[in-house]
Amino acid sequence: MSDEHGQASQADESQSPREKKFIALLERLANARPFAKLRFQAPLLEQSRRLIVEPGGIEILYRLAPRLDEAGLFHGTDWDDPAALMPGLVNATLEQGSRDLVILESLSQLRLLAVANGVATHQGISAEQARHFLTQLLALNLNRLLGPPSETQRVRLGPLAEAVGKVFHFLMGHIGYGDILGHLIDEIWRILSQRPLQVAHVKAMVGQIAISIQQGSGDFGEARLGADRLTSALFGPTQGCLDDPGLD
Amino acid sequence: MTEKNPDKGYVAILGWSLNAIDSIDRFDRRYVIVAPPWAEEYAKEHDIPYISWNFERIDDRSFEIARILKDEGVDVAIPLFEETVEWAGAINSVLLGKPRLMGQALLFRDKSLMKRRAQLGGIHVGIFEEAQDKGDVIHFLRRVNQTLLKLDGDPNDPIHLKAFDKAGCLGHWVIREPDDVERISDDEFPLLMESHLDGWEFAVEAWIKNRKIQFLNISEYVTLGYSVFVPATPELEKYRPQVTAEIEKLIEAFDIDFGFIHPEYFVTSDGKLHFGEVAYRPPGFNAFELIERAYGFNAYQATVLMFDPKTTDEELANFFPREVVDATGHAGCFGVYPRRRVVSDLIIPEETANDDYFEFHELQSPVENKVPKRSAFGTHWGLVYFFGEDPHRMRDLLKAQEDLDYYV
Repeated sequence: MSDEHGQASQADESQSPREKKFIALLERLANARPFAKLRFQAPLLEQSRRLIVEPGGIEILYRLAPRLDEAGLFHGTDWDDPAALMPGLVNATLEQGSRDLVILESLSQLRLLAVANGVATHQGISAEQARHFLTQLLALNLNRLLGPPSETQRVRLGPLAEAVGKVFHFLMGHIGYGDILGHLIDEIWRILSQRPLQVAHVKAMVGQIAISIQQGSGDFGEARLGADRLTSALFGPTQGCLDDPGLD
Repeated sequence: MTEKNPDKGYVAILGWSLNAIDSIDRFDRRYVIVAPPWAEEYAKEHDIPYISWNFERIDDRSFEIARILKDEGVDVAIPLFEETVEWAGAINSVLLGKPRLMGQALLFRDKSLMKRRAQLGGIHVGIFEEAQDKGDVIHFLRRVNQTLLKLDGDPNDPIHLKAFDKAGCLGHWVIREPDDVERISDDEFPLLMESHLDGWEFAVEAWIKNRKIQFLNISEYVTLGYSVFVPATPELEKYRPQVTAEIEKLIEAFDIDFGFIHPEYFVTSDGKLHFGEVAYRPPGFNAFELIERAYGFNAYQATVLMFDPKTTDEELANFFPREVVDATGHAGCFGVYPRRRVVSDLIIPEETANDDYFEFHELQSPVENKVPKRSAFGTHWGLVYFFGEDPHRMRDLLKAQEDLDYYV
């Protein structure tokens, strides 16, 4: 593991009482034997849920994410083996999972970001793979970057719903928009090259791209060209009627 | 696994508790868990040293466990639960060659014998009698109140009924009127009856080795059966010298060479200490965890240290922090009982969740909507943990939880 979180374990005057408590719980989990971890996971998830909605909470959790991972927060869950995680399943977890699963997923994302940024390592997953996962994840969840959480989410998760969206923004701040669009476009071409009959989800993705280019600010770089091409292919007139003014 | 020191003792833990196993696995003593057969698969799966034993069956073969442990090379047995206290006493009398340990364990297991022994040792106890049936209870209630010179129509002083051999608040009833007796079913008898002591009740955790108190903690009850925190407020801690003297009396009266005891006392308005009861096992309400949170040492490991005959003086001198002054704060917990008859959801009250002192909870969402009636004391639905620096704020915070709905 990196040196960074080694330093974080020392009591720091700047830590809030909540953060200090969080670290106390974290250390208890870290000390516990594998068979006893379960008991300390739930309290830590509960505190994570409270910490993540506080100002600066995501940064704190991002900083602690490698330690959480090492302490065994994901022990005994599907998240324990990040190489086996599938970005396509994340949305279902966030939409339908319990509050504990939702926070676990968010923490897993922060941990993977730490791996992608090279501040932490995890057995079985490289920085490259982690980055690839997060890029895919962001591409598939563009709606979370664009708007506020849906009402069902707000009712079900409370303040956590907003925090989930903020985590996505946080991830994007580190991964970059261009990367995501580029990836999404590659993905669409990969699907289209198979000449699928059902194209609804591809159309939805193209729609997402169009919306994010319209609303998003910032530089999309080369990805912009490919995106325009897809958008015009879906929404523009076909070659055959390009010259038709549309009058009878 | 922590490197085990072959020069230290080899301990057998009687009873299954993951917290205890987790703590002891991290300690430098070799250990083996003696637990019922249902734990076998789990123990194997997680490489926990394990010997299967059914503590509920008592017959001619019961002696075998002592022999099995002796052949295994175990030095001493440590009980985790009330029910395993006499097993530990019996096994240790064989392992250590001290037949009196068996008898000593029985004193801890039978509240009626325990009170008599304490009284013989010059310890102040309330008046008590054994009840064989409901008639005895009504008679005792009448006589106690007659002694108190109550006139007809005066409210009665209550009496307490306790099962001889149950832990903590299980099987504990308060009787004020003869009609209250009807709540108790006939198969609960015989019971111990005690006069009520109107005082401030608290618990003590004492680790003892070589007949000396090695560490003494006072746990303050905010409301009995609901909440407790350690270390206590200065108002209670001022009785520490008296408490120490009382524990020393207990050590003499019960002939305790080593181990861990968990007695309860009342302090009355005139500043006198009255003995309630004593247990020879880790306390309920996760007091061990509170002690670890406040002081930083692992209470299970401390207990192993007390039982192990190979513990050195040097180890004893270095293991424990200083009482009260070395605590980093006050750790408390609150046992939640649903206040409503019908509940559907678990919601941590906002004022609790947002409190600086709040740490975490171990409550489960309700499985059934209808809340069963609470019998006697005990059976809370889970614990909520707090930690903070000011004992008075802790006390008030724990008290305030009683008026909050966790289950709605």
